[in-house]
Order: sequence, then structure tokens, then C-alpha cells
Amino acid sequence: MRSSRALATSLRASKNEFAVLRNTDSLVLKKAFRKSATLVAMSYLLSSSIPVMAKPAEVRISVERELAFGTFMIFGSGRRTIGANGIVTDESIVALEGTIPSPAQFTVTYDRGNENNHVLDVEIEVFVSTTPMVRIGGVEGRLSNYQTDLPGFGRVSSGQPLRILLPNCRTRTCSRTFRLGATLDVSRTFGGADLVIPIPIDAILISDDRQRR
Amino acid sequence: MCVIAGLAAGPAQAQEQRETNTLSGRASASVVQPLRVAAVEDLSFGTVMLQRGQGGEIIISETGSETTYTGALHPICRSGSSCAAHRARFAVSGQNNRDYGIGLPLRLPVTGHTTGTHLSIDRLSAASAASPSLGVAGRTDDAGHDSFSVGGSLQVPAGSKADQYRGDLTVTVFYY
Repeated sequence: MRSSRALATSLRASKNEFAVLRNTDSLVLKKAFRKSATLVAMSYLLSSSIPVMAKPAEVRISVERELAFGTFMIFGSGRRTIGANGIVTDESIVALEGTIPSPAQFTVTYDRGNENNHVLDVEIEVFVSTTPMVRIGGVEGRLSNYQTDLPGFGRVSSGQPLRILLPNCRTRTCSRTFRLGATLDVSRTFGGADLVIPIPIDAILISDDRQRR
Repeated sequence: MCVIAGLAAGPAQAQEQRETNTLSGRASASVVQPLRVAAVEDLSFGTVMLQRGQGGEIIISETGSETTYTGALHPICRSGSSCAAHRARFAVSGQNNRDYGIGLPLRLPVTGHTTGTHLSIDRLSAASAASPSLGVAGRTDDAGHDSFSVGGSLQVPAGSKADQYRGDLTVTVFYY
């Protein structure tokens, strides 16, 4: 019941053909219905073929975990360093219970889009920019001495390119996760504060060459 | 010529768009104001009288509710007078709304000023103004302030000599 109603609906869509068929007998009408239905279906298929949008390759960077320096007490000034491996080093501060210190974790993802299926060797550069000094009330904080767990980039300075290689990329997306540690220098004249310091990071696609065998 | 230039510009633009991605991560730290403690009032067992040949004990409650005399000890001064027994009081300041702990010695020796003989204060205990039920712990208020009191028990054995006995009570406060 549902299919015959669908057929009639399709026929109604082609008004001219339906008008011709109105004066014929039922057998011819049935055949004509089938023929028309086929034509309508074909024309529908042709008209419904949505053009595939080209999606070029892109590189994305996302935050998996933020850089947490934890909770500590400070009398005048001091510093805490969180290594990329999570090791915490304190100078002139008193560690307190609270947020657990941990390095940041980022993931850089290469998305080839839908332009090819080749095996690619992808090269991406990541830049960690200089962060501003942050002051809240009588507390000042500044980040420096970035550290990563990327091979060859144990210690990096602001603006230094971190080269990430994604060799032999066969899937649509290929990614690499890395950790980022840093040193936080804090000076306090009065009160306490919850410091939040932005870390601007840029990822740039350097190359996504087809692998040569 | 113009058409060729236009077509050539297209792919170059697309190339530029796909290449970079910027993100702002975040570093965070909670910097806590140091905790400070200041003595407001000393712990005083007052002036007492001891019957010959007998000993006793003075117990000062940390909550200040009462002072108990046992054995052959009797207070000379009336309650509220300058020579009456009273608990110690301390003021605390630091980060607002944070729990802290109070460290007290297990035993506090006191020495007679003239005779050099020793007595002993023990069972030292504390109660914060805001949360007396926490015991040797407290919590700062919205402005970062609190106070606590300290009580204890002075043992006065039989034969103790008449003197003015003194000792230094050291308390420490620390964040949990």
C-alpha cells in the first residue's frame, strides 16, 4: 500500500506524463506507471547526486590537559618547575594539598581531507609563544623555560619551532600527542591568587609529501 | 590575462588556509597566602594555694567553659580578675576559607623563677573559634581570619615550692 502511494506521488511530480495517461485503459496505465516510475527514479538519482565538496588537508591542535602548577604557599618570591615528565621542582615555596601538578598535554592532528589516499610523510611545526606576565592582586606570575617530551626538544624557548614528523601516514588523520612543562616564577607582595596564564600555540603544516618508495 | 591571474590566485589562497591552526592553552596555579599566628593572651593557671603535704591539678578547658581544681589546690583570685586562671588565645590570618591544623607540644615544662624547680603542663588542647569541634584544626573565614584557644593541665605535686612558674608555649599552624 505504501509503495503504490509512493508511485502515485512520483507520477504526480511529472505532470505532463500523467495528463497523457489519464485517457488510457488500466493495463496500459499500469505499464506506463512502471515506465514512468523508472524514469522518475532515474531522474531523481541523477538530480540527487550531491556534488562532493573538496576538503583540503588541515592541521589541528587540541588541548588534552592544561598545565597545572598546583597549590602552594609563598612568602616573597619563588618558582615551581613542572617537567614534561611530570617531575616537580620547587624553589622557595611550600607545597600544599590541592590541585595535583601536571604538565600540559596537546595533540597535533593532520587531516588529509578527501584529496588523496596516498601514503604521506607529514611535517608540522609547533610554536609556543611568549606568555604575558600575569598579576592578580599582590601576586605576579610568569612562565618560562618550556620543556617538552618531543625528541630533540627537551628544552625550548618561546617562538622556537618544534618539529613534529608524522611519517608513513596512511589514514585520513594522523596525530602526535606531546607534553609541555614550564617554570612558573611567582612573586607575592600581599594576599593569594588563582593565577591563570594563557599559552598561545600555533601549529603549521610544513609539508605533506607523498611517500617515495 | 586577467582570467589567468584570477585562476592562479585561487589555489594559493586555499593553500594558505589549510596550513595553520592556533590555540590558547592554559597554565594555572593557586598561590596561597602564608598562614600567620599571633599570641593574643597567655595561658595562665592563676594564683593558687596548695595545702601542705598534698598535691593537685588545675585543668583549664580549651573552650574556656570552666577551670577545674582537684586535690589540695584552691584558687586565690576570683574568676575574671587579673590573677585568675584563663586559657591562651591566638589569632590566625591567611588565605580565606582554608583548613589549617594546630600543632601543640605534648608536654610543656615550666620553671620556678626563684627556686628553679620544675612543674609540668600536659594534655594541651586547642579549639578554634569558628569550629571548636574540629579539635586541633580550624578554618579561616571569608576574610582569611580565625582564632583559637589553648587549654591544658598543670600538675602540682605535693611539696611543690611557692614560686612563679613560667614556660614558653610554642604553637604552630599549618595548612592542610
